Amino acid sequence: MSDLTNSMYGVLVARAGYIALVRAFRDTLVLTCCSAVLGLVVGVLLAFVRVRYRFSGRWRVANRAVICFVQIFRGTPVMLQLLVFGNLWRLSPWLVAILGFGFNSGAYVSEILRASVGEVDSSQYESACVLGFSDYQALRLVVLPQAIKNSVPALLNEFCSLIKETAVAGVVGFQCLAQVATVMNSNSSRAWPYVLVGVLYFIVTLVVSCGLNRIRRAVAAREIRRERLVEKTGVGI
Amino acid sequence: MIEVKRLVKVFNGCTVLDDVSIKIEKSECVFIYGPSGAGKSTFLRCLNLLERPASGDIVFAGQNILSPDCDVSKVRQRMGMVCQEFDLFTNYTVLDNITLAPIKLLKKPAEEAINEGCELLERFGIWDKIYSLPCRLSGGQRQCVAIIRALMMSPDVILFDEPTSALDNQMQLGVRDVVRDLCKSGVTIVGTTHNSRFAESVATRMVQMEGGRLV
Repeated sequence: MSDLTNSMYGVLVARAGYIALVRAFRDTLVLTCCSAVLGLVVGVLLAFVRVRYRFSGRWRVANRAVICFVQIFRGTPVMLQLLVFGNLWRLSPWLVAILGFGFNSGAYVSEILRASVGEVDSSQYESACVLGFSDYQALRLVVLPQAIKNSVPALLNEFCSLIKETAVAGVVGFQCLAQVATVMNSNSSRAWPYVLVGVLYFIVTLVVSCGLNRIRRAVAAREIRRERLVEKTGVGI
Repeated sequence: MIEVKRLVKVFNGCTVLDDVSIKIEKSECVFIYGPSGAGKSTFLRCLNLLERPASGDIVFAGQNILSPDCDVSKVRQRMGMVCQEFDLFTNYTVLDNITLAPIKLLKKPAEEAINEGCELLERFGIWDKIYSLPCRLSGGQRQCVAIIRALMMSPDVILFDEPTSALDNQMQLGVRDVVRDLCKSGVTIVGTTHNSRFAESVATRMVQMEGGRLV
Protein backbone atom coordinates (compact mmCIF):
# COMPACT_ATOMS: atom_id res chain seq x y z
CA MET A 1 0.00 0.00 0.00
CA SER A 2 2.77 2.38 0.91
CA ASP A 3 4.45 1.49 -2.39
CA LEU A 4 1.34 2.54 -4.24
CA THR A 5 1.04 5.77 -2.23
CA ASN A 6 4.68 6.56 -2.80
CA SER A 7 4.36 5.87 -6.51
CA MET A 8 1.28 8.08 -6.82
CA TYR A 9 2.87 10.85 -4.76
CA GLY A 10 6.03 10.67 -6.81
CA VAL A 11 4.33 10.89 -10.17
CA LEU A 12 1.40 13.15 -9.39
CA VAL A 13 2.92 15.58 -6.91
CA ALA A 14 6.72 15.43 -7.01
CA ARG A 15 6.87 15.36 -10.80
CA ALA A 16 3.82 17.67 -11.07
CA GLY A 17 1.88 15.01 -13.00
CA TYR A 18 -1.40 16.35 -11.66
CA ILE A 19 -0.96 19.49 -13.77
CA ALA A 20 -0.73 17.40 -16.94
CA LEU A 21 -3.68 15.34 -15.75
CA VAL A 22 -5.89 18.38 -15.10
CA ARG A 23 -4.85 19.93 -18.42
CA ALA A 24 -5.60 16.67 -20.29
CA PHE A 25 -8.94 16.39 -18.49
CA ARG A 26 -9.87 19.92 -19.57
CA ASP A 27 -8.65 19.32 -23.14
CA THR A 28 -10.58 16.05 -23.37
CA LEU A 29 -13.80 17.78 -22.36
CA VAL A 30 -13.21 20.64 -24.79
CA LEU A 31 -12.37 18.18 -27.58
CA THR A 32 -15.54 16.18 -26.84
CA CYS A 33 -17.73 19.28 -26.90
CA CYS A 34 -16.19 20.64 -30.12
CA SER A 35 -16.45 17.24 -31.82
CA ALA A 36 -20.04 16.82 -30.64
CA VAL A 37 -21.02 20.21 -32.08
CA LEU A 38 -19.29 19.42 -35.39
CA GLY A 39 -20.83 15.95 -35.35
CA LEU A 40 -24.29 17.37 -34.79
CA VAL A 41 -23.92 19.88 -37.63
CA VAL A 42 -22.51 17.26 -40.02
CA GLY A 43 -25.11 14.72 -38.89
CA VAL A 44 -28.05 17.09 -39.42
CA LEU A 45 -26.79 18.05 -42.89
CA LEU A 46 -26.24 14.42 -43.92
CA ALA A 47 -29.59 13.35 -42.49
CA PHE A 48 -31.32 16.22 -44.29
CA VAL A 49 -29.96 15.03 -47.65
CA ARG A 50 -31.13 11.47 -47.00
CA VAL A 51 -34.53 12.48 -45.65
CA ARG A 52 -35.17 14.90 -48.50
CA TYR A 53 -34.36 12.16 -50.99
CA ARG A 54 -36.67 9.77 -49.16
CA PHE A 55 -39.63 12.15 -49.18
CA SER A 56 -39.25 14.02 -52.46
CA GLY A 57 -36.87 11.90 -54.54
CA ARG A 58 -34.55 14.90 -54.97
CA TRP A 59 -30.75 15.01 -54.55
CA ARG A 60 -30.20 11.45 -55.77
CA VAL A 61 -26.44 11.86 -56.33
CA ALA A 62 -25.96 13.66 -53.00
CA ASN A 63 -27.89 10.87 -51.30
CA ARG A 64 -25.53 8.27 -52.78
CA ALA A 65 -22.52 10.30 -51.67
CA VAL A 66 -23.92 10.56 -48.14
CA ILE A 67 -24.51 6.79 -48.00
CA CYS A 68 -20.86 6.21 -49.01
CA PHE A 69 -19.64 8.75 -46.43
CA VAL A 70 -21.65 7.17 -43.63
CA GLN A 71 -20.63 3.63 -44.57
CA ILE A 72 -16.94 4.55 -44.66
CA PHE A 73 -16.98 6.37 -41.31
CA ARG A 74 -19.05 3.71 -39.59
CA GLY A 75 -17.16 0.86 -41.16
CA THR A 76 -13.61 1.81 -40.19
CA PRO A 77 -12.02 2.36 -36.75
CA VAL A 78 -11.96 5.95 -35.56
CA MET A 79 -8.25 5.55 -34.73
CA LEU A 80 -7.46 4.84 -38.40
CA GLN A 81 -9.58 7.80 -39.45
CA LEU A 82 -7.55 10.05 -37.14
CA LEU A 83 -4.29 8.70 -38.58
CA VAL A 84 -5.50 9.29 -42.14
CA PHE A 85 -6.60 12.85 -41.31
CA GLY A 86 -3.31 13.52 -39.52
CA ASN A 87 -1.23 12.32 -42.46
CA LEU A 88 -3.41 13.88 -45.15
CA TRP A 89 -3.51 17.46 -43.98
CA ARG A 90 -0.66 17.97 -41.52
CA LEU A 91 -2.86 20.04 -39.25
CA SER A 92 -2.43 20.61 -35.52
CA PRO A 93 -3.40 17.66 -33.28
CA TRP A 94 -6.36 19.66 -32.02
CA LEU A 95 -7.83 20.20 -35.50
CA VAL A 96 -7.15 16.64 -36.61
CA ALA A 97 -8.87 15.28 -33.51
CA ILE A 98 -11.88 17.59 -33.82
CA LEU A 99 -12.30 16.79 -37.52
CA GLY A 100 -11.79 13.07 -37.01
CA PHE A 101 -14.16 12.67 -34.10
CA GLY A 102 -16.60 15.24 -35.55
CA PHE A 103 -16.97 13.47 -38.91
CA ASN A 104 -17.13 10.06 -37.25
CA SER A 105 -19.80 11.25 -34.84
CA GLY A 106 -21.61 13.01 -37.72
CA ALA A 107 -21.98 9.69 -39.53
CA TYR A 108 -23.60 8.11 -36.45
CA VAL A 109 -25.76 11.18 -35.72
CA SER A 110 -27.07 11.17 -39.30
CA GLU A 111 -28.13 7.54 -38.94
CA ILE A 112 -29.80 8.28 -35.59
CA LEU A 113 -31.74 11.18 -37.12
CA ARG A 114 -32.64 9.18 -40.23
CA ALA A 115 -34.05 6.39 -38.08
CA SER A 116 -35.99 8.93 -36.00
CA VAL A 117 -37.47 10.46 -39.15
CA GLY A 118 -38.52 6.95 -40.14
CA GLU A 119 -40.60 6.82 -36.96
CA VAL A 120 -42.50 9.97 -38.00
CA ASP A 121 -45.61 9.06 -39.99
CA SER A 122 -45.12 10.03 -43.63
CA SER A 123 -48.66 11.46 -43.64
CA GLN A 124 -47.29 14.30 -41.48
CA TYR A 125 -45.09 15.38 -44.38
CA GLU A 126 -47.96 14.96 -46.81
CA SER A 127 -50.39 17.03 -44.76
CA ALA A 128 -47.85 19.84 -44.57
CA CYS A 129 -47.46 19.73 -48.36
CA VAL A 130 -51.25 19.80 -48.74
CA LEU A 131 -51.29 23.15 -46.93
CA GLY A 132 -48.83 24.57 -49.45
CA PHE A 133 -45.53 24.13 -47.62
CA SER A 134 -42.59 23.32 -49.87
CA ASP A 135 -40.87 19.99 -49.21
CA TYR A 136 -38.05 21.88 -47.45
CA GLN A 137 -40.50 23.72 -45.17
CA ALA A 138 -42.47 20.54 -44.47
CA LEU A 139 -39.31 18.79 -43.35
CA ARG A 140 -38.00 21.74 -41.33
CA LEU A 141 -41.24 22.75 -39.61
CA VAL A 142 -43.08 19.47 -39.22
CA VAL A 143 -40.98 16.34 -39.71
CA LEU A 144 -37.58 17.26 -38.22
CA PRO A 145 -38.88 18.70 -34.90
CA GLN A 146 -40.69 15.41 -34.27
CA ALA A 147 -37.69 13.38 -35.37
CA ILE A 148 -35.26 15.32 -33.18
CA LYS A 149 -37.54 14.80 -30.17
CA ASN A 150 -37.56 11.06 -30.88
CA SER A 151 -33.80 10.97 -31.30
CA VAL A 152 -32.76 12.68 -28.04
CA PRO A 153 -32.02 9.46 -26.05
CA ALA A 154 -29.90 8.03 -28.88
CA LEU A 155 -28.06 11.34 -29.32
CA LEU A 156 -27.22 11.38 -25.61
CA ASN A 157 -25.79 7.88 -25.94
CA GLU A 158 -23.72 9.04 -28.88
CA PHE A 159 -22.35 11.91 -26.78
CA CYS A 160 -21.33 9.53 -23.99
CA SER A 161 -19.64 7.23 -26.53
CA LEU A 162 -17.78 10.21 -27.95
CA ILE A 163 -16.34 11.09 -24.53
CA LYS A 164 -14.85 7.59 -24.25
CA GLU A 165 -13.67 7.48 -27.87
CA THR A 166 -11.45 10.51 -27.29
CA ALA A 167 -9.12 8.11 -25.45
CA VAL A 168 -7.52 7.26 -28.81
CA ALA A 169 -6.77 10.91 -29.70
CA GLY A 170 -3.21 10.34 -28.54
CA VAL A 171 -2.34 8.65 -31.86
CA VAL A 172 -2.23 12.07 -33.54
CA GLY A 173 -0.27 13.69 -30.73
CA PHE A 174 -3.24 15.06 -28.79
CA GLN A 175 -2.62 15.12 -25.03
CA CYS A 176 -5.75 13.29 -23.96
CA LEU A 177 -6.27 11.58 -20.60
CA ALA A 178 -5.20 8.16 -21.92
CA GLN A 179 -2.01 9.66 -23.34
CA VAL A 180 -1.15 11.25 -19.98
CA ALA A 181 -1.90 7.92 -18.27
CA THR A 182 0.56 6.19 -20.61
CA VAL A 183 3.29 8.70 -19.75
CA MET A 184 2.58 8.25 -16.02
CA ASN A 185 2.64 4.49 -16.45
CA SER A 186 6.06 4.66 -18.09
CA ASN A 187 7.29 6.72 -15.09
CA SER A 188 5.78 4.47 -12.43
CA SER A 189 5.56 1.07 -14.16
CA ARG A 190 2.23 0.57 -12.46
CA ALA A 191 -1.37 0.18 -13.55
CA TRP A 192 -2.86 2.87 -11.29
CA PRO A 193 -2.58 5.73 -13.87
CA TYR A 194 -4.89 3.79 -16.19
CA VAL A 195 -7.29 3.03 -13.34
CA LEU A 196 -7.25 6.70 -12.30
CA VAL A 197 -7.99 7.86 -15.84
CA GLY A 198 -10.68 5.18 -16.16
CA VAL A 199 -12.31 6.52 -13.00
CA LEU A 200 -12.21 10.05 -14.43
CA TYR A 201 -13.86 8.90 -17.69
CA PHE A 202 -16.46 7.00 -15.67
CA ILE A 203 -17.28 10.04 -13.51
CA VAL A 204 -17.62 12.31 -16.54
CA THR A 205 -19.93 9.93 -18.45
CA LEU A 206 -21.94 9.30 -15.28
CA VAL A 207 -22.38 13.01 -14.57
CA VAL A 208 -23.27 13.75 -18.21
CA SER A 209 -25.78 10.91 -18.55
CA CYS A 210 -27.37 11.65 -15.15
CA GLY A 211 -27.59 15.37 -15.95
CA LEU A 212 -29.10 14.81 -19.36
CA ASN A 213 -31.53 12.21 -18.03
CA ARG A 214 -32.62 14.68 -15.41
CA ILE A 215 -33.28 17.31 -18.09
CA ARG A 216 -35.21 14.74 -20.14
CA ARG A 217 -37.33 13.76 -17.14
CA ALA A 218 -37.98 17.41 -16.27
CA VAL A 219 -39.17 18.13 -19.81
CA ALA A 220 -41.44 15.06 -19.77
CA ALA A 221 -42.83 16.02 -16.36
CA ARG A 222 -43.50 19.55 -17.60
CA GLU A 223 -45.47 18.18 -20.54
CA ILE A 224 -47.52 15.91 -18.28
CA ARG A 225 -48.24 18.81 -15.89
CA ARG A 226 -49.35 20.94 -18.82
CA GLU A 227 -51.62 18.17 -20.15
CA ARG A 228 -53.18 17.70 -16.70
CA LEU A 229 -53.78 21.42 -16.43
CA VAL A 230 -55.49 21.40 -19.80
CA GLU A 231 -57.71 18.51 -18.72
CA LYS A 232 -58.51 20.12 -15.37
CA THR A 233 -59.28 23.66 -16.51
CA GLY A 234 -60.48 23.00 -20.03
CA VAL A 235 -58.04 25.54 -21.38
CA GLY A 236 -54.29 25.11 -21.16
CA ILE A 237 -51.59 27.64 -20.62
CA MET B 1 -62.66 26.99 -62.00
CA ILE B 2 -61.37 23.44 -62.41
CA GLU B 3 -61.37 21.49 -65.63
CA VAL B 4 -60.16 17.90 -65.64
CA LYS B 5 -59.50 16.41 -69.06
CA ARG B 6 -59.07 12.68 -69.74
CA LEU B 7 -57.32 11.98 -66.45
CA VAL B 8 -55.68 8.57 -66.10
CA LYS B 9 -53.96 7.25 -62.98
CA VAL B 10 -52.29 3.85 -62.87
CA PHE B 11 -50.97 2.10 -59.74
CA ASN B 12 -48.72 -0.91 -60.40
CA GLY B 13 -50.42 -1.69 -63.71
CA CYS B 14 -53.92 -1.22 -62.25
CA THR B 15 -55.91 1.67 -63.75
CA VAL B 16 -57.46 3.51 -60.82
CA LEU B 17 -58.74 6.52 -62.77
CA ASP B 18 -59.79 5.81 -66.31
CA ASP B 19 -60.30 8.75 -68.64
CA VAL B 20 -61.96 11.01 -66.08
CA SER B 21 -63.21 14.36 -67.35
CA ILE B 22 -65.22 16.91 -65.41
CA LYS B 23 -65.70 20.66 -65.34
CA ILE B 24 -66.38 22.38 -62.03
CA GLU B 25 -67.52 25.99 -61.99
CA LYS B 26 -66.71 28.60 -59.36
CA SER B 27 -68.85 28.36 -56.18
CA GLU B 28 -70.09 24.94 -57.18
CA CYS B 29 -70.34 22.25 -54.54
CA VAL B 30 -69.67 18.95 -56.24
CA PHE B 31 -69.74 15.72 -54.26
CA ILE B 32 -68.51 12.45 -55.73
CA TYR B 33 -70.05 9.32 -54.33
CA GLY B 34 -69.49 5.68 -55.05
CA PRO B 35 -68.34 2.41 -53.52
CA SER B 36 -65.00 1.95 -51.78
CA GLY B 37 -62.14 1.54 -54.26
CA ALA B 38 -63.97 3.48 -56.97
CA GLY B 39 -61.11 5.99 -57.15
CA LYS B 40 -62.79 8.92 -55.39
CA SER B 41 -59.92 9.70 -53.01
CA THR B 42 -57.31 9.16 -55.74
CA PHE B 43 -59.18 11.65 -57.89
CA LEU B 44 -59.01 14.28 -55.13
CA ARG B 45 -55.32 13.50 -54.52
CA CYS B 46 -54.65 14.02 -58.23
CA LEU B 47 -56.43 17.40 -58.12
CA ASN B 48 -54.09 18.43 -55.28
CA LEU B 49 -51.07 16.85 -57.03
CA LEU B 50 -50.40 14.48 -54.15
CA GLU B 51 -50.56 11.90 -56.92
CA ARG B 52 -49.18 12.53 -60.39
CA PRO B 53 -51.58 11.29 -63.09
CA ALA B 54 -50.24 9.09 -65.89
CA SER B 55 -51.91 11.29 -68.47
CA GLY B 56 -54.52 13.99 -68.87
CA ASP B 57 -54.74 17.65 -67.88
CA ILE B 58 -55.97 19.55 -64.85
CA VAL B 59 -56.68 23.20 -65.51
CA PHE B 60 -57.14 25.29 -62.35
CA ALA B 61 -57.97 29.00 -62.67
CA GLY B 62 -56.81 28.94 -66.28
CA GLN B 63 -53.48 27.26 -65.56
CA ASN B 64 -52.53 23.68 -66.37
CA ILE B 65 -51.22 22.57 -62.99
CA LEU B 66 -49.56 19.48 -64.46
CA SER B 67 -47.17 21.59 -66.55
CA PRO B 68 -43.56 21.51 -65.25
CA ASP B 69 -43.39 25.30 -64.74
CA CYS B 70 -46.37 25.31 -62.36
CA ASP B 71 -45.61 26.17 -58.72
CA VAL B 72 -47.26 23.27 -56.88
CA SER B 73 -47.03 24.96 -53.46
CA LYS B 74 -48.90 28.04 -54.71
CA VAL B 75 -51.59 25.83 -56.23
CA ARG B 76 -52.02 23.95 -52.95
CA GLN B 77 -52.31 27.21 -51.01
CA ARG B 78 -55.30 28.11 -53.22
CA MET B 79 -56.71 24.57 -53.19
CA GLY B 80 -57.06 23.37 -49.62
CA MET B 81 -57.70 19.78 -48.73
CA VAL B 82 -59.15 17.98 -45.73
CA CYS B 83 -57.77 14.46 -45.82
CA GLN B 84 -59.61 11.37 -44.68
CA GLU B 85 -57.06 10.68 -41.93
CA PHE B 86 -57.02 14.35 -40.75
CA ASP B 87 -53.21 14.18 -40.27
CA LEU B 88 -52.90 16.97 -37.73
CA PHE B 89 -49.33 17.80 -36.77
CA THR B 90 -48.84 15.69 -33.65
CA ASN B 91 -46.17 17.91 -32.11
CA TYR B 92 -48.25 21.10 -32.28
CA THR B 93 -51.27 22.21 -30.27
CA VAL B 94 -54.61 22.81 -31.97
CA LEU B 95 -53.87 26.53 -32.16
CA ASP B 96 -50.45 25.96 -33.72
CA ASN B 97 -51.92 23.44 -36.15
CA ILE B 98 -54.38 25.97 -37.51
CA THR B 99 -52.15 29.06 -37.47
CA LEU B 100 -48.84 27.62 -38.69
CA ALA B 101 -49.63 27.80 -42.41
CA PRO B 102 -51.27 31.29 -42.44
CA ILE B 103 -48.36 32.74 -40.46
CA LYS B 104 -45.57 31.02 -42.39
CA LEU B 105 -47.03 30.98 -45.88
CA LEU B 106 -49.49 33.88 -46.08
CA LYS B 107 -47.31 36.00 -43.74
CA LYS B 108 -50.34 36.93 -41.67
CA PRO B 109 -49.57 38.67 -38.36
CA ALA B 110 -49.75 36.08 -35.56
CA GLU B 111 -52.42 38.04 -33.67
CA GLU B 112 -54.70 38.20 -36.69
CA ALA B 113 -54.25 34.49 -37.40
CA ILE B 114 -54.93 33.59 -33.76
CA ASN B 115 -58.10 35.71 -33.65
CA GLU B 116 -59.33 34.15 -36.86
CA GLY B 117 -58.52 30.67 -35.57
CA CYS B 118 -60.32 31.31 -32.27
CA GLU B 119 -63.44 32.44 -34.11
CA LEU B 120 -63.51 29.26 -36.17
CA LEU B 121 -62.81 27.06 -33.13
CA GLU B 122 -65.70 28.73 -31.33
CA ARG B 123 -67.95 28.21 -34.30
CA PHE B 124 -67.15 24.49 -34.33
CA GLY B 125 -67.60 24.30 -30.55
CA ILE B 126 -64.09 23.19 -29.74
CA TRP B 127 -62.65 26.43 -28.43
CA ASP B 128 -61.77 24.74 -25.12
CA LYS B 129 -59.35 22.46 -26.99
CA ILE B 130 -57.27 25.35 -28.25
CA TYR B 131 -54.09 24.30 -26.41
CA SER B 132 -54.63 20.56 -26.56
CA LEU B 133 -52.42 18.25 -28.55
CA PRO B 134 -54.14 16.27 -31.33
CA CYS B 135 -53.67 13.01 -29.40
CA ARG B 136 -56.09 14.37 -26.76
CA LEU B 137 -58.90 14.98 -29.26
CA SER B 138 -61.71 12.69 -30.36
CA GLY B 139 -61.99 11.70 -34.03
CA GLY B 140 -64.71 14.26 -34.63
CA GLN B 141 -62.76 17.04 -32.96
CA ARG B 142 -59.70 16.18 -35.03
CA GLN B 143 -61.76 16.37 -38.18
CA CYS B 144 -63.08 19.77 -37.18
CA VAL B 145 -59.54 21.03 -36.58
CA ALA B 146 -58.48 19.67 -39.99
CA ILE B 147 -61.35 21.56 -41.62
CA ILE B 148 -60.48 24.76 -39.74
CA ARG B 149 -56.83 24.36 -40.77
CA ALA B 150 -57.88 24.27 -44.41
CA LEU B 151 -60.27 27.23 -43.97
CA MET B 152 -57.54 29.34 -42.35
CA MET B 153 -55.74 29.54 -45.71
CA SER B 154 -58.83 31.16 -47.31
CA PRO B 155 -58.55 28.92 -50.37
CA ASP B 156 -60.53 29.29 -53.59
CA VAL B 157 -61.25 25.57 -53.61
CA ILE B 158 -61.52 23.07 -50.77
CA LEU B 159 -61.29 19.35 -51.38
CA PHE B 160 -63.10 17.29 -48.75
CA ASP B 161 -62.20 13.62 -48.60
CA GLU B 162 -64.99 11.94 -46.62
CA PRO B 163 -65.66 15.01 -44.44
CA THR B 164 -68.23 13.36 -42.20
CA SER B 165 -66.68 9.92 -41.73
CA ALA B 166 -65.80 10.50 -38.06
CA LEU B 167 -68.52 12.97 -37.06
CA ASP B 168 -71.63 12.48 -34.97
CA ASN B 169 -74.96 13.86 -36.20
CA GLN B 170 -74.56 17.18 -34.41
CA MET B 171 -71.11 17.76 -35.84
CA GLN B 172 -72.29 16.69 -39.31
CA LEU B 173 -74.88 19.45 -39.17
CA GLY B 174 -72.11 21.88 -38.22
CA VAL B 175 -69.98 20.80 -41.17
CA ARG B 176 -73.00 20.99 -43.46
CA ASP B 177 -73.61 24.60 -42.42
CA VAL B 178 -69.94 25.44 -42.90
CA VAL B 179 -69.90 23.90 -46.39
CA ARG B 180 -73.07 25.79 -47.31
CA ASP B 181 -71.65 29.07 -46.03
CA LEU B 182 -68.43 28.47 -47.95
CA CYS B 183 -70.35 27.91 -51.17
CA LYS B 184 -72.34 31.09 -50.57
CA SER B 185 -69.13 33.04 -50.01
CA GLY B 186 -67.80 31.88 -53.39
CA VAL B 187 -65.55 28.97 -52.38
CA THR B 188 -65.66 25.98 -54.70
CA ILE B 189 -66.12 22.64 -52.96
CA VAL B 190 -65.20 19.24 -54.32
CA GLY B 191 -65.80 16.33 -52.00
CA THR B 192 -66.14 12.62 -51.75
CA THR B 193 -68.53 10.83 -49.44
CA HIS B 194 -70.31 7.60 -48.65
CA ASN B 195 -73.01 9.58 -46.87
CA SER B 196 -75.46 10.32 -49.67
CA ARG B 197 -77.84 12.14 -47.32
CA PHE B 198 -75.07 14.57 -46.35
CA ALA B 199 -74.10 15.02 -50.01
CA GLU B 200 -77.71 15.71 -51.04
CA SER B 201 -78.03 18.32 -48.29
CA VAL B 202 -75.04 20.37 -49.41
CA ALA B 203 -74.09 19.53 -53.01
CA THR B 204 -75.17 21.59 -55.97
CA ARG B 205 -74.17 18.61 -58.12
CA MET B 206 -73.59 14.97 -57.30
CA VAL B 207 -71.46 12.73 -59.48
CA GLN B 208 -71.18 8.96 -59.24
CA MET B 209 -67.85 7.22 -59.65
CA GLU B 210 -67.45 3.54 -60.29
CA GLY B 211 -64.42 1.52 -61.36
CA GLY B 212 -62.35 4.68 -61.86
CA ARG B 213 -64.90 6.27 -64.20
CA LEU B 214 -67.46 9.01 -63.69
CA VAL B 215 -70.86 7.57 -64.44
